[in-house]
Amino acid sequence: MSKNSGSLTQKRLKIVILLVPVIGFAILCRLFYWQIIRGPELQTLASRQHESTTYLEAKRGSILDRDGNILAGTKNLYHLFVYKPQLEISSSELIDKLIETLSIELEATSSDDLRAYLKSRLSLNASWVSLKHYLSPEAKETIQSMSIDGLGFEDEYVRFYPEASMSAHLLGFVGQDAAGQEQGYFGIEGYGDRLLKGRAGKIRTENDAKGDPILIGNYQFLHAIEGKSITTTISKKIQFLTETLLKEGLEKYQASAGNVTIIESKTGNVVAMASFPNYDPGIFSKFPNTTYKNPIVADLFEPGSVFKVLVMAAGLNEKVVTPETECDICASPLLIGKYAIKTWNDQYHPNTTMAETIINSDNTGMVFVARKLGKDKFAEYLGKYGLGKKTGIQLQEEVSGSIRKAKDYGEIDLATNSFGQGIAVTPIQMVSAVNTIANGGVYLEPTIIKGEKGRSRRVISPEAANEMTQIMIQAVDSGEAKWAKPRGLVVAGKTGTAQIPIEGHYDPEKTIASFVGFFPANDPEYTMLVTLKEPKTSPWGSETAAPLWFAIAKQLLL
Amino acid sequence: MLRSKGRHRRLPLAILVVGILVACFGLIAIYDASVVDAFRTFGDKFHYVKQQSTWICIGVAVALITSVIPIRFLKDNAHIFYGFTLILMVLVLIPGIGSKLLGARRWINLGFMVLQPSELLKVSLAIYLAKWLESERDLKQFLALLSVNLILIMLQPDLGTALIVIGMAFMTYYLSGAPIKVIFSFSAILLVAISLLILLSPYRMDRLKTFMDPTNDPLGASYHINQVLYSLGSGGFGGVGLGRSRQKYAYLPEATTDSIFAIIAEEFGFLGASLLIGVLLSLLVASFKVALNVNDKFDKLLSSSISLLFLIQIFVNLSSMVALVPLTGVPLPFISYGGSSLVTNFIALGLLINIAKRT
Repeated sequence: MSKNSGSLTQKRLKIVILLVPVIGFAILCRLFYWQIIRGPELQTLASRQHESTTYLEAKRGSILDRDGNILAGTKNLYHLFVYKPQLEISSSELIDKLIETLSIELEATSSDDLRAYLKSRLSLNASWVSLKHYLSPEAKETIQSMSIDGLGFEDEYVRFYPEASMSAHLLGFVGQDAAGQEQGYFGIEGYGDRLLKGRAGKIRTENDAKGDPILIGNYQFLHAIEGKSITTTISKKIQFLTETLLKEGLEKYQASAGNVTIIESKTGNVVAMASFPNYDPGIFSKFPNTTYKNPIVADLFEPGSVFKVLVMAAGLNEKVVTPETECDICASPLLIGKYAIKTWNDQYHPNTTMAETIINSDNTGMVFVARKLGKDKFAEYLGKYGLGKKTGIQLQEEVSGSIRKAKDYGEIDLATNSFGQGIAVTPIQMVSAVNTIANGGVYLEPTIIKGEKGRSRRVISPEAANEMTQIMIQAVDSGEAKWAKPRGLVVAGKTGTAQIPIEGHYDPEKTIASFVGFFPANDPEYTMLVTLKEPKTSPWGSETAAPLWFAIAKQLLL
Repeated sequence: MLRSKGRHRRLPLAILVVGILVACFGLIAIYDASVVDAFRTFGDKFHYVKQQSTWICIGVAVALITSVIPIRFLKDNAHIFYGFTLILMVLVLIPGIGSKLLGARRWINLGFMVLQPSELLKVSLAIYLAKWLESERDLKQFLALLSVNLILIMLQPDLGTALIVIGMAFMTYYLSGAPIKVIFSFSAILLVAISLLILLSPYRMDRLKTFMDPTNDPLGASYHINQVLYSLGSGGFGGVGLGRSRQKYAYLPEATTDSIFAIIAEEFGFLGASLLIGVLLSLLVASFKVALNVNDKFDKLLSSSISLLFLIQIFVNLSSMVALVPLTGVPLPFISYGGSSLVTNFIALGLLINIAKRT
């Protein structure tokens, strides 16, 4: 070894040794960067992969009728799972034991398919494996009695409707929101969702990469809180018979759709609400989504002649007319600009009285009243009757519609509105407005939840209400609809046959036939509106909606 | 350190004690990182710890032996040891003798133990190189020698070991007095070779891309480095505490072997991890001190190559863990689980002590 080479090695060694502090320092800096500077952020990412939250379903509250009968309930079903580390028998033994019970539950699946499915589940590389959802209590009992270690059950809740599609439109349905959480849509399910759904419980655990809980990990448990039940003002019995009769009526009159709303005249409580076509909330996804909304609160229609009673009552209240006032413009069709206002049968009664105007459903007589009221008062009364705004009924999909402001009323608008054309309202607005007359002149906001009282306001005087009631009694007794009236029942009512506007003009063939009224007329118990869309047997309300109305009324008194 | 007069006596002892202490600390870390897996796989949460403890005992015993056998004997028989290791390196490639694990054929199962010849190669090559480089060697000769080793290693394949062997051999060659322009030419060749290796292997390419952007493909190619960084980040300054690592629950791959530093950093935080790095650095300083202090060229080259072996393994492992270099699977000396690696490092430690005693 040369001296020279030795000192070169020594020199180079010193250079190499310099690497120790240099690289060491670089590593420490980098370590500091990851642990201290980026630490909090990385820690969050790390805990996100360790922590998992399991949600415990809260039992959804029921929807009950006024007597506590279930309209929409919640079934307690069970989720069967297996925790493999505690399983003491082999997978195939387990399948043999379960197959019989599970086959009964899954009628559509062959037992071979089921066996293959269970086998694939059990061969999953996880300790905790879900085997079957929505197990019936009976099946749970059977499996539990086998006392197999490692099997467990979790509560699962499913909405059920004892009468399938009954009350569908007022109940709404329970679906899932974008995040997959249970969410009520439409009707009471939608309106009362927060109350009904309660609060889901939570189990927060820390898991290993396979998803098994870490024994020394943090554990947090939050109980689920059951949802509250909602008691409605609906009478299941009346609802049932209303739906039955409406269905019969739709067939009899070959109408494409129809609805019936019955409210208690003195409280505004909705007793029944039926509409077809409807859907089954238990299997809502199998129905077109156009059927989901309740037409009674979500569909606007031109009411036609049933609207006349509201205008006439306003005229009587303002004392611009009396039942005996004679019409001086009713001798012939009324010409307004390029339009001619005719009566329904093109017969004209010079000097017809206001009572006769309602009894004969005389359009020209209504124009006379509207002109006497003037557009300011006319618009004011429509507002007081609650038109153009939501009635506040506790159904999610309610719409308000809109009415004209006084300054926007032209002569032709005032004329057509007076007999219920050129204005759109919902059935619930219509029946609530007419109920003002039944309730002695005081408007009641309708309600469908027991114990919640809607606001009330006086719209017309008791005298005007009484006068209007008497006219409506006469309209039923001597009017077009008299043949349908059951004996011994005093009814105040009005028929309507509205034309359906299509693309700016009215279709002469298609009508909405309706009947609105209350009974017993002198001390009203119920106010009811029946509307039938496009009845084929007869376009007239008197020959379709009215007989159905009376058929239901007769049942209500039994 | 150790500048007193008694340093010649104290240095060898200090090196041995530090080695044993680090290994014992490694035992704690291994227990910690392996407890879940050990219980699940072997039904004994001390499985890995028991294995490793055995290896530490054997390692210390071997270190004590290698610290007393005459260096002259080693030097004279260097080619025999080296030749024997090369035979093992060939044998391991033969199916039936070498066992295949995760796509690599690196282990010979002897029944009572599993031997990893490439670990043995590190130290026998160091001894052989020290002797071989005593006389001047030109670049061709050096390349020929290195190629034999690299081909055998890459046939397994084992890039981590290859890098260590290249690094150690090259720097020892540099220390032996190779002309500076030869060093530059070799560096150039190395650069080309590494680039080729990366370009030819899609998985190494992924590792490289992952290194450039660790957030890319967190569940695929960059899963491992991301999990390492999650561990570091979770540790913060003070650590989550002994035994409280979450990453060891099957998230972090190779938690007991190549990635064990991540678990240490998670549980003991920046504080503990820096302390460990400090201890390892002082071990390196002590090793190089031995090399600085000896006069005989063989002794100097051998102690240097052993120091370099420690230096490269420690730095490649730690740099991988803190993402200074693309993730490379190299055990952390004295700490990572694994008998062959541990015993080899103790043999090297024993040789260092042996040389230190002679100064």
